[in-house]
Amino acid sequence: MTSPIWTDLLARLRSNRPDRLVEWLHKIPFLEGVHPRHLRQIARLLHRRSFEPGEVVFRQGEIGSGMYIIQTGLVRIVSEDLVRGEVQLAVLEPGHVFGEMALLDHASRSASAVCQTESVLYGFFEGDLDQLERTRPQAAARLLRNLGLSLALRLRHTNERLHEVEEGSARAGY
Amino acid sequence: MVRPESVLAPPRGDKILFSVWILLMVVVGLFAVTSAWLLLTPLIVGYLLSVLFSPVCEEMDRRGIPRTLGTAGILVSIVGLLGVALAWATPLAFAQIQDFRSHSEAYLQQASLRLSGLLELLERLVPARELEQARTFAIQRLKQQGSPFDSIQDLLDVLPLLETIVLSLVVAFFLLARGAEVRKSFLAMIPNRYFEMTLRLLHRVQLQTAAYLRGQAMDSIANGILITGTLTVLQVPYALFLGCFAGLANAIPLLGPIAGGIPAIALALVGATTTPWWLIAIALLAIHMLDNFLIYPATVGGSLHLPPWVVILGVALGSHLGGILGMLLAVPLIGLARGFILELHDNLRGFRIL
Repeated sequence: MTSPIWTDLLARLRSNRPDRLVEWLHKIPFLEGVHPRHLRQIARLLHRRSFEPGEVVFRQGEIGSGMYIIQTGLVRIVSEDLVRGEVQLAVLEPGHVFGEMALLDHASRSASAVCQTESVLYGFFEGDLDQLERTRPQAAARLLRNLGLSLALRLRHTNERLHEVEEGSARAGY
Repeated sequence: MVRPESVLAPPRGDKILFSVWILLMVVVGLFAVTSAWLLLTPLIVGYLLSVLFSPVCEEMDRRGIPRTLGTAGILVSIVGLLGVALAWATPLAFAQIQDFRSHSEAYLQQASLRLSGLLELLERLVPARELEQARTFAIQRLKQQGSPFDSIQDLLDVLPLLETIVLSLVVAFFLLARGAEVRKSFLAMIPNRYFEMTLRLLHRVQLQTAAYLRGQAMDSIANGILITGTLTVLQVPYALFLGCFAGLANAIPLLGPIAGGIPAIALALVGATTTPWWLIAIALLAIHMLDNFLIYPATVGGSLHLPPWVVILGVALGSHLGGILGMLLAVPLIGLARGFILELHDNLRGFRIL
């Protein structure tokens, strides 16, 4: 029988192997279209972080410098409001990406991210993007294009929601 | 990609607090550097070299050359170039040193004439015995003949310098080839709460250091070339060495340009050239103005904002600890520490830790 310590260690080593990470990254919708050779380079730049349930990944209002990809676990995106208090905006699952706006504008985080369960996240930050731009400009261009698409989709979704709210308000006679 | 602010721009903050931070940094740095100067020198020089040459490594990486191979190629090229430069410059240096020594008596007499007024003043201020001792010592040093390596002991004296150079190159190689992994391993140990802040801090400090070092290196080279060329045109002897010295000295803010110009003017004053000393002074001043208004803003720019008292204190301390190398390293190290402290303060606030 194998000791649990060794099983855990071997599992961690296996999950850390670049090839396995590249295989996993290949399935992430956000990284669609990125060449496997470039994915290998991105995999080298990613930072693996483990979080406990309830642990905060980042807080609303803090400086942001990068994005996270969820490998395992669930992450709650929460907006803190003085009037309404804590408002849950979404619960993200493995394969989802969050915090990507900060990768572009380095501004304050617009919402907080809190791990709902034990989670493993891969972080990609401004320094990594700079490095990618210098060494693999094609991969960086593809990544930025995907980032733009993701933000465009989100903006479209927000506009639709705003439109619905405005229509709802008009119907209610406000 | 649009960025709201330049990464090289100094972060905002309270000036008084920053000054306190700088003072604190000077005290801590002083203690650390005095305790382990010999050990730290190759690490610091190696780190600075790795920052300086990382764009070349990245370019090779971009072209598909493996990082280790690319780094080895760069360092072998540097060593090779240094070897060629030494092989070419050493006989020339020996010849010029011999030439200088053979003329030293005449220079000294000329200097005595020029400085007779000053000597009279010195004789009144300094006890006669000490002045005579200083004069004898200066004459003995100038009269020494032969190559700089007269004995085995002289060669052995050079060994620590060689050791520092070799160790610095090894550190630079390691950091260039495997620096990213080392950085990642270090970051893996940082708790989640401080991880993003540390990552951002390291990235920004590295950007500032790289911008300053590369800019300063280009500025020094440009100054060295300009001064060598000008002194050659003005028929000042030892123009190449004076130009190299001035270029190197230029890396020390405030004091460097003055120190770099003194030898050429002094040579004119002691009659080593027929060119009047004031013409050399005007030419060097013109180059300095050109540097101040054109070259420096284009190369170094505003990447390092150090108050003059910090520069002077740092250079004096660097000189005390590590001679010329210490003087050259002092300013980038203080700039690095200052950038780190300012960024740390900005990040601690930004990440709501302060």
